[in-house]
Amino acid sequence: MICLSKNEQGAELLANYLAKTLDAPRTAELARHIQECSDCRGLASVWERLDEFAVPEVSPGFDARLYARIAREEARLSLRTTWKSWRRWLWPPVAPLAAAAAVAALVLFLQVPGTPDAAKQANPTQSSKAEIEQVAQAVDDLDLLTPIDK
Amino acid sequence: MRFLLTIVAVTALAIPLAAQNNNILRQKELRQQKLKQQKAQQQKMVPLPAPAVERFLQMSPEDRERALSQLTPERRQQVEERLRRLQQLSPEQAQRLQDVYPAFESLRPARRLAVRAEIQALRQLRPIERKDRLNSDAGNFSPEELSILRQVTGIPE
Repeated sequence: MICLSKNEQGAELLANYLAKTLDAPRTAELARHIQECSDCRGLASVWERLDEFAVPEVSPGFDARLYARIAREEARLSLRTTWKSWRRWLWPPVAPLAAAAAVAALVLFLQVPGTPDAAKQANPTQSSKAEIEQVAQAVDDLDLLTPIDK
Repeated sequence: MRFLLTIVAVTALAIPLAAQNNNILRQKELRQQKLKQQKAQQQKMVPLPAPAVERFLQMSPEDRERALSQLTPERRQQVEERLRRLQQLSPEQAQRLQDVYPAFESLRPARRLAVRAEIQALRQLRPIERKDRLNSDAGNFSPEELSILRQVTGIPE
């Protein structure tokens, strides 16, 4: 008997069962087992609930905005690290001046509003990669859904 | 004499420069003409229902090239081939795609997976087998999903 919790391919089996892509005998066997096994029943009900969860559509500029935010965070972190290493080498009277300049630069950098275009400039490779993957997936689906010629 | 030599030298320098300039202008003109033709061709087509793909098709050839270069060579070839097929759809086919794609997109991810698998399986079959399979599998799909499958295969109820 197939027990999902004891089977290495349990998750895949359950996904196929819920997507109704298993063959009829296996579907019947699994359905019987789920009735009898409380562990598998619990697992199946969690997956069914997950399946009911509607995934919100991602807005077109989402990836670009996300990567811009990551780039901003990375820049802020790297600025902090660089500052720590410089502090040891700076001549003491210059340090306050440099600190003031760095703070002013940081404030200016954080004040600039992030737009999708700015986001692309911040990390063009990651952003365009995510976008082209999205395009490729949509092209796959469109091609699959193209009416079959009789 | 010196004046004449200066004129000859200036003319000798100016001719290649002018020719180069002319060449650049011609290239620019050709590029603009190509873009115009591309736009006109796109305007004639029924737009594809996926906004991401439409945005991609509106890109300049250079931007498109840059975007495609992010994919592996095999994946790129596959995407380009499919895009070419999509751009050659008849207006009637494009219209049917316009109806079916939003319905497919609105399905839950697990159901999209099931519909995808069913369409792939149906595509492998002969028309008569397709009809039999669709009728026998009908119980596994919701009315919305069945409508998608019927629109793609062209098999009426």
